[in-house]
Amino acid sequence: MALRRKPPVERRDHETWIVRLEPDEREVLATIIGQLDALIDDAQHGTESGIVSRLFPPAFTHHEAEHEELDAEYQRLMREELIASRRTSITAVMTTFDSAKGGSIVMNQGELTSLLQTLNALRVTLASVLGIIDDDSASIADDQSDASPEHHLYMWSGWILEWIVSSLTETLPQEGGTL
Amino acid sequence: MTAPEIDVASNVEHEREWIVIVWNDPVNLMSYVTYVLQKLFGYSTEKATELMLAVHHEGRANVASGNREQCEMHVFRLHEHGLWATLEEAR
Repeated sequence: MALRRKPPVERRDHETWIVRLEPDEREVLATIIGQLDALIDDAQHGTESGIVSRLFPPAFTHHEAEHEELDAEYQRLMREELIASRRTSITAVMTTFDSAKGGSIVMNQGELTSLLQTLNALRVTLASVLGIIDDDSASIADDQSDASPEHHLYMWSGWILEWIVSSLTETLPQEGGTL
Repeated sequence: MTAPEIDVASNVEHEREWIVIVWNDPVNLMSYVTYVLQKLFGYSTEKATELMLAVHHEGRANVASGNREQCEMHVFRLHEHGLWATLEEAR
């Protein structure tokens, strides 16, 4: 008989959420997020691996030579800030993992947002490892029957991400602006 | 008395209009892109979904506009969320 698992992310009250990750799941995530942090640290020190380059995309559309200069200026000013932002999110996630009790972690909205952004950064990086570069390669990856551990992690983190998005969407104002 | 110095180049730059583009990528989930557009720009679910679908089907969507400084900040926040975004001058 299959056990019905509770949702991995559930809003508990106005300010907190419960994230359900078993200790072994947290251990796997903490290990891989630690590796991501090390790769971002390398990028900070100028030894960037190609697999994290998608985390630091160009800011200007390179239609004109002037835009390449503007992008170089932008990267000089903002790249460090982007690295710091990513590492701050990772640290917040690791701290919440340390506070876990059994299979549950209580998070506030900021911590859940950090988990959201970190899992997304992890997926972007895993996609590079898996060679997912366009919609065709993404479809092939979706259909993979002899999936690698990285592929399983990519799909699993996407599943958790969907739950976080669903839960955080409840916090958005009902009426939006217009473009 | 001397006339105040006016930084003409800076004023012209300030007035030029730029647009922020989100590009299609095979990784970001459709629900995630919709959520990020709602969160960062305050769009309704309908508007954010429309933009997300434009990204998905047409490869790109203009999600915001403003002066360069404003658009650079929008791009930074989109990059923080892992979206592939750039800015370019409005034509």
